[in-house]
Amino acid sequence: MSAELELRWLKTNKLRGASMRFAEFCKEDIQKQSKQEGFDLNIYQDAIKQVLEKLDDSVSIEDMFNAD
Amino acid sequence: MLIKSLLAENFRKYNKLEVTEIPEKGAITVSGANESGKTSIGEAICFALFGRTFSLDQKNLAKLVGWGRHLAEVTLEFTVEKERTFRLYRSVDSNGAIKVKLSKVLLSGNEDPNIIESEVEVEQVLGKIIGFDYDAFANSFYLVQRELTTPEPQSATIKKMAGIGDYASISNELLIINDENESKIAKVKPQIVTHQASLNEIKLDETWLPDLVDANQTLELEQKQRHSLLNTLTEGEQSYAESATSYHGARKNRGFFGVLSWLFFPAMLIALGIWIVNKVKPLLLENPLINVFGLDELANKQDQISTWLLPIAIVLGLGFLLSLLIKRKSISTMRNLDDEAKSFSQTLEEGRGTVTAEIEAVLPERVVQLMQKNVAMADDATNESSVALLDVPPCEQFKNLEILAEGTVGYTANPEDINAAVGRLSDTFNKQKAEIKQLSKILGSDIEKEKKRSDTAGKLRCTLKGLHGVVDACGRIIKVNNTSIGLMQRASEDSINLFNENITKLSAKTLPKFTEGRYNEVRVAEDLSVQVYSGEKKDYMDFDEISSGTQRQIMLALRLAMSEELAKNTGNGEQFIFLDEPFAFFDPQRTRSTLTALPDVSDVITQVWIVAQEFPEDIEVAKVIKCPTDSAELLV
Repeated sequence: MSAELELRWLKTNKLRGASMRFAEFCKEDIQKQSKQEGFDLNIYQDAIKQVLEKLDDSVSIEDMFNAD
Repeated sequence: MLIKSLLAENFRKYNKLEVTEIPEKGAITVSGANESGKTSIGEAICFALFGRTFSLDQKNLAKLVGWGRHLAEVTLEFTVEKERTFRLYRSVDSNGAIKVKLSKVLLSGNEDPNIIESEVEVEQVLGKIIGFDYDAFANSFYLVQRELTTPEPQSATIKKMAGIGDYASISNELLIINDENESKIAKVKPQIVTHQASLNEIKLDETWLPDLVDANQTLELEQKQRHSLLNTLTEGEQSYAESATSYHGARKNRGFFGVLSWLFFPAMLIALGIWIVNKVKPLLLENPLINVFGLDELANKQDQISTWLLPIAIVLGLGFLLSLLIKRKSISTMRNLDDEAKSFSQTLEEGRGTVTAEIEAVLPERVVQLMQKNVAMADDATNESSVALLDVPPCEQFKNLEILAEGTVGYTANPEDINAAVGRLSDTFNKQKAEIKQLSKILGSDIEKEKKRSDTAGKLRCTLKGLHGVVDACGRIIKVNNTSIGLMQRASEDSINLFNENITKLSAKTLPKFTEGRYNEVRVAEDLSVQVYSGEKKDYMDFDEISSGTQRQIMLALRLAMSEELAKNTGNGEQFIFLDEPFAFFDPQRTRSTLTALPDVSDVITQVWIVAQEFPEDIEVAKVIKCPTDSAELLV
């Protein structure tokens, strides 16, 4: 299995809740999807990042407290 | 999320309510007779978190203010992920006006100075901290038995419990973005077609402009070459006559002093020889002078001879050296003039070659054709190919130049002939220079036209590149979005399966206890509807097929399981649950076994608040809260 298909950049332990479950799912899903014809790893990775961003909402609780 | 403490003033029946040192794990029983304020504790928690209660929405919150009081206040301290503690204060006055504050509690126990006081902001931040909203809370962690029903299969709450709550909204958002991008592409594509057509119309040959520029540079070089030759020839012509005179003079000197040096040298040797002999062996010279030549007188003057011979030999030697020097100087002068002559000869040859060369040979053929066409147009000539770009005199006209060039080496050529030939060459060069200037002007005009075409094509290409960039970028966004949507669909199916599996697993632990073994487990179908496995019927039954009493028991098991899933999806670690009268339809035995089992049914739902009129005394619980009927204060 290539390192890219392992999605090593995707650290599930740094996520929580639904985001963590989604990331764990992606790590399994990519193994199946990568065998499909026309699979584009970059697109796939961008799709993961996009969903995670939307699930997680990038503004941290600390930032929300510190915002004027 | 676990509750650390709950403080309230003038809330419902309580003038003062203080529940502190709440254990993180285990059952917290809240008991008391009717109207003792048991439910008020749950309401205080709910009000603090969401600014409403199960029975009162935001419009009727003034009812929470105690009788005869003006302001009801609740302060809830809670932890998430074990480490982070927050303090939430919410009050409502008798007019229904709400105030809210949310702050972090530092490890020292002090409050962080950054406090959020806007109701909207508190709602946002709190949602992020605890990971659920009122609906999810009311459907999971806050169970009121009298309202215990199955969640709506497609409700946002159950999706949130399954961990797919946001997928639908994200997918919708991405679909809208896709529509926008498709519209952009649809708008840009016709522009691409139009610009491409314009570009095709230009029919730009990428190599044509460089060819024209090269040709122009070649013409410039030809022009410079003629200019340089003209100057060199003029200078050469002017110096030739003078150099010829110098050359011939030097040649004469070389001959004369060469002969002279040959005379001086032997004479010097003879004089020197006699002087030496006379000095060394005078008799050797004396005898032959007397005996052979009979020069008695001379022999007597040997001393005088000896005195004069040496200076004579020295003078002869000096004469020899001087002759030699002048000869060498003459040779050197001749060599220099020879070089000059050779250079001039080469210039003459070069001039002859240049003046008779056809300029078409050094230009690209298609440029020549264009220029012939232009010249023909200017001259009104009919046959373009017969038009010569440059007026080249016949070779014969300059044939004598070859002989003259040869003659210049050794300065045998007549300077007047040279002057005449150079004059002819210069005239032709000047004429050709004027013609080349004209050709260059015509070519310059063609270059300008081609540059304009090239610029137009460049701009069109640039625009096309930008437009293609827009299409590519939009296309990529659509691809990424579609991949995201596909991912979420598959993740959703996976989460539902996992959710179902976990619900089944967890309910299998609790349901038999709640239903005396009649029902074994709950499962959630793909459409998120609830089904129950009946041990008697050995099959799954729809929830509607079961009696309402049993439905409530099943629902307790189901909600517990769902609550655990929701808690997992919030990512906040351990979670509290508030069960208000959960055993209303349970007999004492089932109440006892359920109460015993409840604190341990889940690793996630660890803090279990249970409200009931009374609890068996012999069951050990983590904290006991007994609500008084005759007091408005409760401090535990």
